[in-house]
Amino acid sequence: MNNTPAIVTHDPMMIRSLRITTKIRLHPDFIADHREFARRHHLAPEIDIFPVTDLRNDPNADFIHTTIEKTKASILLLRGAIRLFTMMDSEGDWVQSIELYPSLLLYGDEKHPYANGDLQQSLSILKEQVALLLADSLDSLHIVPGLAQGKDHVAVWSKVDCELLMPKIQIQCLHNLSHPLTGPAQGAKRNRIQLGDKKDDCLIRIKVAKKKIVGVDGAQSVQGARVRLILKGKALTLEFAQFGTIATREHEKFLVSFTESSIAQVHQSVMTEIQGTILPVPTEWRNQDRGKPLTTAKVLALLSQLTSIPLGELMTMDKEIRKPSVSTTKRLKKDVQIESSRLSPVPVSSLFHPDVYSAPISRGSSHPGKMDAEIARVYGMDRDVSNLLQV
Amino acid sequence: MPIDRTTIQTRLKIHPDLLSDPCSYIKEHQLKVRTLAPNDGKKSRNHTKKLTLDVSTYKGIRVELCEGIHDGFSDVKIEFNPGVCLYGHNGRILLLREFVDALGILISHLKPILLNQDDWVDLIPGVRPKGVAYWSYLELFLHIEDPDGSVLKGFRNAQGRNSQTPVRHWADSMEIGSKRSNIQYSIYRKAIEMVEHKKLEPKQLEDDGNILRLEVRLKGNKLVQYLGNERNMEEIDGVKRVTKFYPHELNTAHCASFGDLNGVYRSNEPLAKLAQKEQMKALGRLLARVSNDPRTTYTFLELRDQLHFYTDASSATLSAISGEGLKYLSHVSRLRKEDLFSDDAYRKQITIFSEKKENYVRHYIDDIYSDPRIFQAYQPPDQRLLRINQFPSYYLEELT
Repeated sequence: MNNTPAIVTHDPMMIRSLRITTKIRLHPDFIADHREFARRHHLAPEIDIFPVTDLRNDPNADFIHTTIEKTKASILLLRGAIRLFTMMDSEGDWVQSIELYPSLLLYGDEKHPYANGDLQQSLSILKEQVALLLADSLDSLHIVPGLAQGKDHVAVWSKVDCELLMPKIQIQCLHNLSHPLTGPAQGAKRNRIQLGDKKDDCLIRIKVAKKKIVGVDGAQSVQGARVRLILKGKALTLEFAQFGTIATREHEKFLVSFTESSIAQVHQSVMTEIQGTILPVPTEWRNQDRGKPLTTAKVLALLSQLTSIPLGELMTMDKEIRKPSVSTTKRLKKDVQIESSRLSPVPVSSLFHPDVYSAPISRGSSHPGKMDAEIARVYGMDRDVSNLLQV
Repeated sequence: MPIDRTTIQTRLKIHPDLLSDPCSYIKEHQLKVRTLAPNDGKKSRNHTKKLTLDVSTYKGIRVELCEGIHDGFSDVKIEFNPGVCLYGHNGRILLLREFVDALGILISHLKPILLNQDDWVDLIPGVRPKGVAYWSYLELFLHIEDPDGSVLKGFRNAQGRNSQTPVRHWADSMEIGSKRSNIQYSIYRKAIEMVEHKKLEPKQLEDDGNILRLEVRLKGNKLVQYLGNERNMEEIDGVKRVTKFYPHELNTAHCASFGDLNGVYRSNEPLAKLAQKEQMKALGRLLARVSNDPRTTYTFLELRDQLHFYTDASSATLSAISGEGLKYLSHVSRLRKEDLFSDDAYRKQITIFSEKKENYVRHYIDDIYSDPRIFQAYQPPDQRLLRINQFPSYYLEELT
């Protein structure tokens, strides 16, 4: 695993995880004794298996206490960077889904920004590692989607989880967020805004971020926001439709391949549809030498931005509470106008302009191991997509 | 007994054959175990081996056994939901008899995993005086009708005692406090939640859609603070723990914990007239008034946090704003604590039935372990059990 940090030249984009749905059978010797199997086949020793045995009553049995035994398991390879989820039946143990953590695999850090070629490299390692565990070597075509010829798409993409780190964005400045795929943001915490739910096909999570990253001038501490997008199901197919390859299986559409650059494109495409405003703290309010930090005028100006109550009505409410004198009211009116002019809301969607998603970073050094030729062919061809980025 | 999820912590000698080969043991003894998940402990902090069993065909009992570390005794954590155990869902308000039946089912399911069967007395807290079992987590609730949403809305500006954290709110629910803390409140439309989890037919929302659940989740020192008294606590490993409870004690604990929320209930104290120089108090009232306006999505505490962020106001200023704002909210609130949490409210609260789930749950009567010591721990001496006019739906008389 290469731990050389990449050089960051812009807002870093990360692939947090990818999930594949498939159906491939594991070698019975691996299931019987994975440690011996790993030793014999010179596999990386970091394999952990967490089985869960399901014992249910057999409804078709003659005796009431006859049970059907099914074992599910989570198999972690390479320190959890590759996770296989298996289910046992009468024919053997089948991998039903695979989760891949590309940055964890290549850099030892799940939140490391991705570099040119990381997707193909991590998929190559995935294919290489899992192929060694299979009962039938021909099933190696069904580890990574898009490699099987013809219409036999056993493996398909079922989840893409990606994240953009945006320095200098403070989430407290984001207001009234909503998205056509998720509805309004709900259940906010102090350090997190969320649109959608875990069970939804689209989840957007904006979280406070503090991270040390390596920039052109060396290591630096970055404070900002992580904008995470998790797509699965219909939303995954819909959003990747113009950037990837879609196949139909039993009348249902599935994503079977996409290029590395399309992850950023989809992130941008989804985020430009986000509604709401970003309201920066006025420079004048940060300057403590300019009088009291908190005044009624500031509060009224701020409330008129945070709510849909008109400023005039807010001033009336204040008058009913404080019963100020005529001169105070006159002064307040003037001050409110000044403070209101200092607040400049802009649409949140404007944050996600194409420049933020410019070319992936260059890796400091290459990762050991060959790139799989077939994966490079299916996943490595970036289309000229500058005209597809939304402005 | 309006009780939802619970956790029992105890220490027991588990049969070594179960720990060494769980699958074979379960099959050999025909135990009603749905899933078993061993963990070799390599990833855990203290490298303790664990075995987790989902017991009971109908859910409601999960047991986590840690490998014996105290002279062959294992630390055992039992996650127990009596309502789910009996009815397949947690929408019902259980009678005392039903709660005791659920404990009986727990005993009959877990006795076979013990090395000594007589040790079952340490499965249920309070059965054995000076025992090792105690309640470590309890969820208590109250169901009320809230057809116009005014009660749910009334809790939007709630502030927990000694907490500055704003309420997390969604369209039909809210949470006060975090999961990690020893007290958390959750207020939500119970029937809607049950439909989302496929435990209730959507058509039942016509009748039950207005039911609001006011739930409090207690553990650690908060569980002891609100529920504990001289009668129901014991010192276990040097720490005071709750080992038993009567039904009315649960209601008292629930009422007391909800009563400690600020900014919710009507206060009869008149609002003082503000002096000209009391500008921060005036802002507090303004913020409170705005937070109650339907044209804002922010709660009072969220607006206060925004103020702090944008203006960097001092903590003294914010304190003055918060204090006056919460007073104002209490002054204008339509929720009266004595009405919401009256004895009548607890006695007559609405239960949610779910034919969809209840039709599938059946326990053989012989499987419902009975012992007078269980009743002694949970039945108040002056309370008689209601006569059974018909068998509960979860009873199954004989093998078919």
